[in-house]
Amino acid sequence: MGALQRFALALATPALYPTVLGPLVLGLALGLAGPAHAQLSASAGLQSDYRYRGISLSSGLLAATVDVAYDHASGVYAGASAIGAVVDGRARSLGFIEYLGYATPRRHGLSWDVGVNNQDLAYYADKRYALKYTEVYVGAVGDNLSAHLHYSSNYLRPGYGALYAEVDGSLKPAENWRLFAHLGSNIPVGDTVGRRARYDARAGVARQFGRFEVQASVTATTPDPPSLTPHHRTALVVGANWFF
Amino acid sequence: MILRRLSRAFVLGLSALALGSAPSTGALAAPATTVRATAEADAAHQVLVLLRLPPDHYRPGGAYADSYGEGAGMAARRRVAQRIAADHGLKVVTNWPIPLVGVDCFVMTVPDGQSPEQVALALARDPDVAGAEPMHVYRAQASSQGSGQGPGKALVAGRGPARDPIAGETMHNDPLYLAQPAAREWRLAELHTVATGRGVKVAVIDSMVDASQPDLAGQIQTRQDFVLDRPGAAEQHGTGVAGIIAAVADNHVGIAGVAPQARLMALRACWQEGTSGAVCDTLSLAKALYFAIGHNAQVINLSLSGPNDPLLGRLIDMALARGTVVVGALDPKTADGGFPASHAGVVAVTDDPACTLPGVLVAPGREAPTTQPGGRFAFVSGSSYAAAHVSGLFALMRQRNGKAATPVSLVTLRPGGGAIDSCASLMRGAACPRSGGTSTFARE
Repeated sequence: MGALQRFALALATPALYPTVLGPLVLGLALGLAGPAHAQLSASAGLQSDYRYRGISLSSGLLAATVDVAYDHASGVYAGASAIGAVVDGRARSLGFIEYLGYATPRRHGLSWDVGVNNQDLAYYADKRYALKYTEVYVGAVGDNLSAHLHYSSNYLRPGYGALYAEVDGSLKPAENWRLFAHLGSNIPVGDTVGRRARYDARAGVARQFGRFEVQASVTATTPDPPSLTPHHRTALVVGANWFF
Repeated sequence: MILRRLSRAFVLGLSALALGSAPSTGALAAPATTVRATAEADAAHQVLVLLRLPPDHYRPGGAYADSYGEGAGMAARRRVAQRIAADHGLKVVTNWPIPLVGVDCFVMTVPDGQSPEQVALALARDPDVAGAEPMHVYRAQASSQGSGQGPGKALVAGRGPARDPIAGETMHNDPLYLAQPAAREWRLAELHTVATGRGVKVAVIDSMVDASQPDLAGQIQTRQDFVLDRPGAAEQHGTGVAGIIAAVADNHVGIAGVAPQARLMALRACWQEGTSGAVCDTLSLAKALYFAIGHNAQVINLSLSGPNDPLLGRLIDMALARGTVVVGALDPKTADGGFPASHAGVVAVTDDPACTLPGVLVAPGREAPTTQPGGRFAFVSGSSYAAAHVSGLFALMRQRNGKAATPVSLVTLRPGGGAIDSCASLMRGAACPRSGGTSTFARE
């Protein structure tokens, strides 16, 4: 079965996501990372708090991320991230993220973006509450603005569907400076008993110094995050990334 | 499960590998900055190396889309560029991503004794290279710039469109109006009873326009300088071209622009050379074109010419695909008229009435008074200024006819080129305004 067929099958069969996506990302990176018009990039970063869609997964502790991304000239892309919290000088894993997608060449200022990503994360403070789900997404990306709609049929637990809509914007007011902002909303679908829509926002500034970038941003979410982890509705997050 | 673990181990392992292979940052000059310490001589020893720039896309993770993907991708391309430069004995000078055409453009210096053309050919065979070309140089197409004159208030006085006491025709009160070839050949004031280019965005990609010129006061909506390493004061060619397109009409000063209510984007991609000429290069022009396209210019004026260039050609094609009119000045010294005039879809313009090249338009461009830096005026000639007239005419046509005003809607006196019938082009078959009609200025 070819990679595209497996990809199509994965899109059509949510239950297969966790078992297909990881190997597929790995296969793409290993099999296609030749020099012919492909881009393999990586970065490592530290953040004062790892916030995913407004919710702290690191309980406000320093978190480290390592990201690898592969972009093929055809528009196919894949990537993976490892996230860990630094506790008492020791790194503890918060989990992994893998994604695979396709972005069209830009026409009339827009490119279209479809893909699938798999999140296998956990709240640091209580590993019983894992953040495991797979979602497909579609979106449009412009010069300064992008919008994506995500759908998961197993958001946090089997049978819990969810849509996540997000808009991201960025501006470059000066060379090496970037302002960015994000708005997102998670909307339960299907079995919505006891589930409410959530909203999150983020705005910040980044400054690049060659291969380094530092960021500061404010994140907010509503309604209050689950009470199982101690964190605040809003937080100032600072971070640094190293691109190599 | 085993495969999933492998994929996760791969993330960490590959990162470690990438760390180990990363070149020192000191090996690459500050890439996002335009670093061009010398002028035309250096451009002749540079090549442009185009690496593929993947389209932006979603990147999951705590850092939202665009927050780290751009930096990581840029670092990856710099690493590749550094490898390419080392393989070919080149030095990376700077880079500039152009998402519009999906490339990251690296400028590299060619060592003495090597031909940029030969180096570009060798680079093009590298599988990581999406394209390579020599840095080309372009020259403004002014045959004579004339000498600056005073503020030019002497010829005609009066307020608002007036009647020429001799011909009985509608005219403007600008003192040099009667000396403008467009006043005679295009009956400019009569065209202005129909349209003035109001609100149409015209990008002037040229040398520095003097925004303080009294006849350009308030006409420039946007200014950008893409020749940052050669800071310049107001320059002659750009100021002259801008005046012909959009000088203020009926202000008792100087001339009336062909489209006096157009909104100018003054994009400096050229620098003055000598007393009147202007020179640009591929990179500065690409930056200006990218800006013009990104800011929805409806007309782009390129009063310059040089060698055919694939990168600029792609940007021009992008502009044309968006419905932008691109006007280029013909170089009379080249067989095909030079680039960009020879590029498919570009409106090629000359000031030479004897020109019979197919598809080339003839417009006023000889002994035309126009704005100059320091509040002065001068008589200028050349296809640069003929192109400026046509850009102004397109602004009128865009105001009146919207996107229906395309190069094919220009009416010429002979099939396939030659002198433009400005009124027929503007009116699209409707009757031309009668002499003595009311100017749109009078209504506003």
